[in-house]
Amino acid sequence: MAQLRITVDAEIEHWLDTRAVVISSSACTCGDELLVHSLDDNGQMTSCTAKVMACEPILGHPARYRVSLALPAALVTAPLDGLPVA
Amino acid sequence: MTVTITSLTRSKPIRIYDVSAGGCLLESREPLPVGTVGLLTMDFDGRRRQEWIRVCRVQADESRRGPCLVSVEFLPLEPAGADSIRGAVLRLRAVGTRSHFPTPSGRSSGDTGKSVECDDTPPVPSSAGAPVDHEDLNSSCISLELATPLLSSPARECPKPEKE
Repeated sequence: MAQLRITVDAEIEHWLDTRAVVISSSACTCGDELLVHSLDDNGQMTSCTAKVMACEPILGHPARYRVSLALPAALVTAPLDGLPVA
Repeated sequence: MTVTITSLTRSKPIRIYDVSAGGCLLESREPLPVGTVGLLTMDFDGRRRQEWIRVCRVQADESRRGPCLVSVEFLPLEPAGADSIRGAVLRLRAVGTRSHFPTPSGRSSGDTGKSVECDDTPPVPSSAGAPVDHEDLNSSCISLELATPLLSSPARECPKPEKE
């Protein structure tokens, strides 16, 4: 079975500790695991694996979705030169 | 820490029906928006290969349920290397045009079929030491013929996922 890896930008609506809500153009399924890359105020890229807790469509065009994520307690520093592709 | 923009990356299993040097036909359980860019990973010709792709068109089932057929094009962001799907297809195509399709013989070609075939072209070494599966190449050709009507028919957008 082949794998397709897709990366989309998302806007963070709410982020508190291990819970985050993001607005994304891509729909998700509850239980999906997403790799989350973020750039903080210090210009440091962090990454973590989050689990989708909920996904609801937002009315309007283009299609957008409000995705609730469960995050791990600790974020890992990621390289700034892009996402790992391997 | 204040973060407003982030990126979400996810991997999804897909089925591949047809591969050419320029793109391929995928089956996805969920609709993919046209223009989506992603990294396709598959085992092809004995090796794990990757290629950046962009979704060109999407065909959904009439019942609006079930898998979607997704046509994608390969993005030639770098030369077709050893781990590239494009490179593997090009090598298979080169082998196929030289050795897979025999020269037609018979009355229509002026050959009774009993003549000895003399091939001056040097033998083509198989890629990366892996044997070339001619049956696999043949099935690729057949699948291309089967998929062509699908690709030629007008595309329509996939239905939006329904909220349950």
